[in-house]
Amino acid sequence: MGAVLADLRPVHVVGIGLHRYQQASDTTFVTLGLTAVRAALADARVEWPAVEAAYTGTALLGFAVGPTMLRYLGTTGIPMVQVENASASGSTAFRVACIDVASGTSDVAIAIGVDKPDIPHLTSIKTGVRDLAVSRMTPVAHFALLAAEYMHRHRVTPEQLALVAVKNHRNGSLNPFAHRQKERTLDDVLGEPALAGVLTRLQCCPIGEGAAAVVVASDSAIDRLGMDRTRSVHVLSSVLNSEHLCSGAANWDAELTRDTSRRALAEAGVTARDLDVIEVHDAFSIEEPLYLEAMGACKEGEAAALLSDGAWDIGGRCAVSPSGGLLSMGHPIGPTGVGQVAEVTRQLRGEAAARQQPGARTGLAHMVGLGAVCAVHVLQRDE
Amino acid sequence: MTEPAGSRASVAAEPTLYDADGAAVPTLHGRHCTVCGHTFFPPQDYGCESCGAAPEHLAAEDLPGIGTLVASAMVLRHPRAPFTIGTVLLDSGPAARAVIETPEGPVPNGARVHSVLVPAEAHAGVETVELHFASEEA
Repeated sequence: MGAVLADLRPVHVVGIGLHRYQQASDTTFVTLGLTAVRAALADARVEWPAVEAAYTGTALLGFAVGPTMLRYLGTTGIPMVQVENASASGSTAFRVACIDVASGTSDVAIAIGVDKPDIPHLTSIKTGVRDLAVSRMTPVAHFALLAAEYMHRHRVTPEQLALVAVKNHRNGSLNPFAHRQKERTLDDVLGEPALAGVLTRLQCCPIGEGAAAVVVASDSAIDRLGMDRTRSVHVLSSVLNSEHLCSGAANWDAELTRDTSRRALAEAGVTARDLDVIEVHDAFSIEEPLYLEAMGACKEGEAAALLSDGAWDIGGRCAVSPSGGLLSMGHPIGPTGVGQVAEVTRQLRGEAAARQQPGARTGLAHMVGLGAVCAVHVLQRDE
Repeated sequence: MTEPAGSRASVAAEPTLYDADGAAVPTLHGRHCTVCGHTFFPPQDYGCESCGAAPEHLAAEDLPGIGTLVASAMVLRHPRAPFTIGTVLLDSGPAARAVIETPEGPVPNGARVHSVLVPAEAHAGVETVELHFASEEA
């Protein structure tokens, strides 16, 4: 076993920036990406030439996104790498940027996520491995099956599940970078026909376009470049796992999250109950209770009841997806994981305004991606 | 692949996954690993996902089309909607995702189910059949 992040030199988030997530438009990916990068640099109060490496998370755009986009900041000759890891592309770009700085290879690095909607080239179809219902097994059908199994096992109602969407749209309505910025009632969520099982449109994330960027730096860079240490956030751990084989009908989505978050929390030296903020991969409403329980934020089968009690609200025991999550902030693929880190950072700085979780000190960002892969990062306010 | 000799003119939509030979409960074509014993479906000949054994250690294993419905959901947004999709835990171990026949309404979680061949389309007198699952009660 090699080193973990905590064994290396400390790495801090020093700047965050976003382009709003939105429906596909004529805006080029260059404009989306540069908007986020310039905002992140301004937030960090560093100039582009201070950045020593750039990692761009994108899944749909094609070859060479980083150099094609970042040249307009002034070419500096730095290493640029494109990171593709399905829905976890942005989270993985962030991880690589953190490892780059923590290892000492770079003093300042940037993780960028940028994408525009396109038809994904799914490699699973190219394997030649056939299955019974592969053309009918859409993502929403998959999660409708997980919802049916979960609701049956824990006696959870469709209304309780729909409350995930109500909470996350309420949070997203307060987020100027969110794709969906409209508050929704339970009637709104349940008043539309289901796409599959109990999952209605507002319980499924919108996939649009957008960008997010995060600048990470070492202690020496913070001192050397005169960055504001009171606004830096320490990256305590970074764990990226791919799936283990699960037997029979075991829920491999939940098991992968269980393994990954257990390691990330242990490496960070905190427990799930210490978390003030969690950004969850809630592409579908059912994922929030499944993953909160798998992380150990509550006991198995209790997440839905705790949601009804307000435990996961901003101001509750732990704010879950205060950004609005994938359901409301949106899931433009490449940007999503970077945007989660931006939200956790904003919360831990105490700069989230109307979305602020009071006293937030420790936060976690969680993404899963096709494959399956899972990335979990734990961050803590620098004291 | 061609239709099985002696059958009526029906062919499996996915002949690598099951036969269309008229059996009352169609068998699924799985594999098992001769090194670690892992049994799996759908079949593939790349290597064992459990222990990594090479293709020569993967052997064909016919899996009876009998199992328990773990969960099901009606899909309403799809070119072929509406239909019900389900997770079936086969008695032989693997889980399969397949269309669930629901002539008498939803099949409850935990119900015993078995495989059935359902006509999908017909061209020039040749009928293509898909493997679905149906409740043993039906």
